[in-house]
Amino acid sequence: MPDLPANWRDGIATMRGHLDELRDTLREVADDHYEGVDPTGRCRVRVDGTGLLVAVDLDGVATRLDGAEVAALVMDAVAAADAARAELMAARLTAVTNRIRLSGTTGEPPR
Amino acid sequence: MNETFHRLTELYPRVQREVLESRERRRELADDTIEVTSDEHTVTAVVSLDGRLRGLDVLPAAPRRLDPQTLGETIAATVREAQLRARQEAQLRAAPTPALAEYRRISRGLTS
Repeated sequence: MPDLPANWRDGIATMRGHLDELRDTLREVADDHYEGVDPTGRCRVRVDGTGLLVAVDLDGVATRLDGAEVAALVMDAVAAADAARAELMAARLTAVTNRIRLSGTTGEPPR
Repeated sequence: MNETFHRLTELYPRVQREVLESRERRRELADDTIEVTSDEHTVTAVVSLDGRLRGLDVLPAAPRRLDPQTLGETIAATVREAQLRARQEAQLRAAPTPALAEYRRISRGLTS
């Protein structure tokens, strides 16, 4: 361990703790799945926390549509799932940053 | 101050500059796209390098030729393949810069 002043070492350790917490939260969010449905309810999709499309479920009516209509349903459902994912991710990251703020970190460098 | 601290101080302006450049490169990722077509040419997906689905083409007759489950699986697999390729390309373009990599290595060593 280099001979940095003790308050610098404490500051760096605290910052690393916060970064670990943020990283854990991002991992949890990435493991979650989010659902989106198009406005007609004919297409339902599931994406993972990184935005990867996991599944597309089309109802029976889809067989009477043409390709362009099916594509539009899927695009709408994916947009809905992405919006749900972004909303939840923002809420969870805000919760973490609020906890960090309340923990008393000033954001000032150690002296 | 010791040598480690001096090195970190020396690296910091470069790290700041490289982080800004990397952020700019990431912004540019949204403009470039990857296109993937399914084996049977039923579905084509266009995904930007930031992973967003930008376009989807399904053959006009595909919904009548395939049952909904098979069509859904084909669409999901094609889009996912495009997203994974986009992710690989994005990682190549936004790899950690030399100064940032050294800065991280040194600062990890400070508290371990």
